[in-house]
Amino acid sequence: MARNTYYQDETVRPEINIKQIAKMMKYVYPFRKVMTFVVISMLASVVISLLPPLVIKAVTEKVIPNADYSLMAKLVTALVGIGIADIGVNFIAQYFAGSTGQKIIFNIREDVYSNLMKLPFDFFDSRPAGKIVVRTTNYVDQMATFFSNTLVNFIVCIMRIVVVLVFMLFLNPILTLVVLASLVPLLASLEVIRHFSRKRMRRLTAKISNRSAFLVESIMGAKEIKSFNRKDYNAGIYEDLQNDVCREYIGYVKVSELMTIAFETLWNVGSMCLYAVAIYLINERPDLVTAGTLIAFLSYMSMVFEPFNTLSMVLQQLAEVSSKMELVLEIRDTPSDITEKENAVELKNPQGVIDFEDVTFGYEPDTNVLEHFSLHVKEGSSIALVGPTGSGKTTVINMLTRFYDVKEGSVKIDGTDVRDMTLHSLRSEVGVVMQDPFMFKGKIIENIRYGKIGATDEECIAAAKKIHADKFIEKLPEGYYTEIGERGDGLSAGEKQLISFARIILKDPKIFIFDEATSAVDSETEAIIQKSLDKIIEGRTSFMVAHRLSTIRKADKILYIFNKGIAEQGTHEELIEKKGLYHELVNL
Amino acid sequence: MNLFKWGYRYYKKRIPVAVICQIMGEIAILIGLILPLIAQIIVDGVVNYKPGEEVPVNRFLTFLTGGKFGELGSFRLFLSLAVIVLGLVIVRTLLVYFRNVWFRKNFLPIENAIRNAEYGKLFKLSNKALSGYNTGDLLTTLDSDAVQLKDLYTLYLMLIIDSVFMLVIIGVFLFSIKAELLIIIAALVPFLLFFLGKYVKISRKVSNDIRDRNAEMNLVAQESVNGIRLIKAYANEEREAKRFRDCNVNTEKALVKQVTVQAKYNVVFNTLRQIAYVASVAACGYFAIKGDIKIGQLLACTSYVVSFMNIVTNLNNYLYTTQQLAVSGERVVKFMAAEEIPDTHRVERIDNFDIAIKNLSVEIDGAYVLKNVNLNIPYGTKLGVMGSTGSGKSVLLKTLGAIITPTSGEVTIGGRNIEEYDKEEIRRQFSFVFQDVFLFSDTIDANIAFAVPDAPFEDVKNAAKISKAHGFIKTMPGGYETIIGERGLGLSGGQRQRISVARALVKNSPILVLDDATSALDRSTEKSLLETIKEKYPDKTMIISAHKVSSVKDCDVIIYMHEGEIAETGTYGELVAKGGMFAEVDRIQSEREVG
Repeated sequence: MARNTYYQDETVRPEINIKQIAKMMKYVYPFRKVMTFVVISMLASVVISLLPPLVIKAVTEKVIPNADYSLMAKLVTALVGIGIADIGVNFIAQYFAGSTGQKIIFNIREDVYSNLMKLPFDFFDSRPAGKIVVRTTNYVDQMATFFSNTLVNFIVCIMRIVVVLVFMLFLNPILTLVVLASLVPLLASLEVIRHFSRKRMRRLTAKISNRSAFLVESIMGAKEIKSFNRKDYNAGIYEDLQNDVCREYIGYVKVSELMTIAFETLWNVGSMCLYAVAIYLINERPDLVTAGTLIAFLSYMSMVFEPFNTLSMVLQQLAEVSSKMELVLEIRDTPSDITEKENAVELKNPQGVIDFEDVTFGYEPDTNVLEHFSLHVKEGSSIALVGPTGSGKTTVINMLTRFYDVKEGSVKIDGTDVRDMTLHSLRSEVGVVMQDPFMFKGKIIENIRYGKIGATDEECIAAAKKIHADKFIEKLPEGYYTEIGERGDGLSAGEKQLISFARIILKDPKIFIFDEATSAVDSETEAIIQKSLDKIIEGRTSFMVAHRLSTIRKADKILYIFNKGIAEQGTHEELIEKKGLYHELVNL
Repeated sequence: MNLFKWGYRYYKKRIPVAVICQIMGEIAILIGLILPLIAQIIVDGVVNYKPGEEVPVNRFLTFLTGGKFGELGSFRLFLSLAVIVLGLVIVRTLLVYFRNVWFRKNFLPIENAIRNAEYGKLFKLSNKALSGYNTGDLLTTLDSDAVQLKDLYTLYLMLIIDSVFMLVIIGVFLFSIKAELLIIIAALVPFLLFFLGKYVKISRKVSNDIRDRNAEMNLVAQESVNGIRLIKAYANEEREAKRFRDCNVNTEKALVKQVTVQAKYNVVFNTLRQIAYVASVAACGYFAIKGDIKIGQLLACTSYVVSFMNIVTNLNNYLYTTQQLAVSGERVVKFMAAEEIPDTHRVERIDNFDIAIKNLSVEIDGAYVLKNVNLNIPYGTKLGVMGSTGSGKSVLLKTLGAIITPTSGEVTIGGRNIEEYDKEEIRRQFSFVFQDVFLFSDTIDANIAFAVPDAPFEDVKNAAKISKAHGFIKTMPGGYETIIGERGLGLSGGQRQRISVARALVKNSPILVLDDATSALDRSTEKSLLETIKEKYPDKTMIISAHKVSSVKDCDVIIYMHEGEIAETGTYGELVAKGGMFAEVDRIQSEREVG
């Protein structure tokens, strides 16, 4: 139950998780040819980038002293060629790496989403919907960078380091050593600063997310804040949260900006050393070093520094992405708790005889909601479930639709265990109307059509008429074609319930379940719905959970659910006669 | 209101700081651009020095080769120059460091000031203005737009000035070394600007497209998660999967389009950069052969030409971003100018809590939701309000708390029109409990003590006991210290309602309004909750709106609303005896006549 609030920092320390990354590599495999091609062209780009300094070297050593115009022309032509090759190779790498990355992400999203639909309800109930959604969309998006950029970069950096170093050693080992020696303190100090600035960054991020969390709640709870006169008090909290952000931000800037100092200073120290050694050698041992070589090496110094530096950032990205991967993969890999048997049978035109045989169930492993619950329901009869909040009425229903599986015992329809049926056929024949029916953003008619995909407009309208939902729908500006917002924004709770009735009528199942389905409509409307429903459910088995007496009174059998089982059962008259719990409930 | 005029008030005080930061930055830039010139002296005057040859030196730097720092070609000259370079580098980096830290320290308060202003405004918005925003819009306006508005004034203004300064200095340097090289820049920059313009346009379109596709995909994912029970109950997983796949395909297409556009335009920009590079090498090589310039100058010039092109590209990006930031800024300005709830502040205290409603009518979107309502509610009355959905119950209750302003007629409290009182006073004296409960992610204790954050725990516990919440809170893992999730996640509807009633009780206002606030409770809990409140607070006015007759049965007066009017008034007994609409509802709901 314990969750996060705006005053608790939430920090995760990202670490590179090789196992997660390895799992992800499976998605790269189908694209191995393109990826190899990309890597090869990147390699080519590395080699190409080594050439221009050589051209400049030739210009300084051969062209200018000898005033050799024809060589100059050749060198410029070479530069043009190098330029074209560089542009081409970069295009190939960028285009193919980018588009392949997107294709990989497409596949991951498909995988993640298809398992999302199979996750146990507990997964949805135990965390905010928003946090699940970001995993399937934003986090996956962030991984796109990993596939189109980070991964390739990682390989290329290593190649670059090797290629450039070998080339430099080949050109001049002494100057290479000078370059390497000057890079060591530079890279080391950058890494140290980065380490501290990351730490600060994590603290900053935590403070920013506290501030956002508080702001989101302030917006959603604006009505409460106003009516409870909390505006000034909250403004004070908000200001504190802002000051936290500022303090951490300045702290972060103070550390991360040190990079400029370290980088520029040490870089210049390095190049001055390179000059010093080169000047010394040019004077003492001109056979070892020339001015042109020095100039070329000044360029190579940045060529070898860059990949080292990038590598450190790539590793950081890798760490960040692998912590996201874990969350994404959790959705992909969490097994479903409700699975179909291999030889599952189709439930077709059931009679509607339902048996709960010695059912025991609990949402948590050690506490049961139902124990040894048995019930036989004749075909076509209506059952009402009553009892105090939390007594397990909805749980009984959840067993029948197989939203959850029983711990012990069995639930049977027409003598067949629900666990032996295909889920699709079971849920097609058992229709549930919920207390808080979900509405999709879109037209009203589409929301009705949800009951039977492919139904015509006429069928949808007819279904709405049957339940007398047409009265309010026709009053809307565009009738059935009125757009409603997310989660049915623009409709009252009662109107949503009416639409959900139209849905179930369109679906036309053999077994009906009404779970507090009319709780939000007023008594008059409810009476109208009841009358229409009586006709519709005639001859079909139905279950209803309700608080209102008018709804349950006419049921063939009323069950009073209490203390993990059925406390009383019978018709309304019988139970009133008995003067037990039900009688007490009714006579309040 | 003009965006810049609006923002100026926050920026004004900081102008001196901004100017100093800018100057520090420009000095740093200048040093950064002088460094290649010194490197050039090292190359031409030491490394590549041929005795007798003249060494070209920038006219401002001639003092370096005057002999004071060492003879040309000598190692001592190199050492002196190296020390100067390192000294300048240290000065430059310190300038950059302190500017960046100081700048942020001074300009973050602007963002905070904007945030505070917006936060305060949030609770002053009129209902009409508020209905123009959804949660997402508000969050953007209050959060990221505030950041962007600050960036517009501070960061981007600074970056643009920096870039322009750099371009000028490079231009001057190039001119002083070899003016002809400026021709390369003059020839290429128009092309660069042309393609940059095109690129910005097309990439804006592409990224808008991606944003839309992402929003669609997000919506489907969100609906799948929120509607998971419905989807499973209807066995419609296939349909959802198809919907998601369609979005996924579209998103992928849009993203690949972006990759393609970027790759293509990079070809264009790389080509221009390469042309600049090759052209400057060729030109410098030519001048070097002719003896106009030296190798060191060649190196300096090529790097200046290439940086010039890069800075133009950056500048273009800054200007483009500025436009986007201005859009965010406009949103903030618009939000701050939105209509507020009029606050007259005339009467600051309510002394008498008798309420009277006189000829009250409310018109919403051209239709009357309340028509000519008259009612007296003396202090201490327990009033029951019944009526079907859309009968005007909720609107009536909201006009009592001055949440909705009547079209005609008035609500008076203590003989004065409710509009004459200070809004805060009204809110202090009325405790509203709404049907849709919003709880904050905090402990249960803090949620109940919402109105009085420092309320003693005894009060919180008492309120929870009266609202029948104590029982279930006790059984929770952390008791009153249990943290509940957003919107009270993890609690049932009935539990949420009981906490929200407790929250209203802690506020301890003389008038308690329950607007269908106990609908999710079972009959026995609801009945005993209402009875306990009446028993514990006999003096208070209580207004209970409900669907269940049992909820209002014991009230002193019950009104039955129908189509915006009070159709029936009386005690339970009177209304039943009357045999009207209320009696019919009672008959439907009660089993007695049947049983």
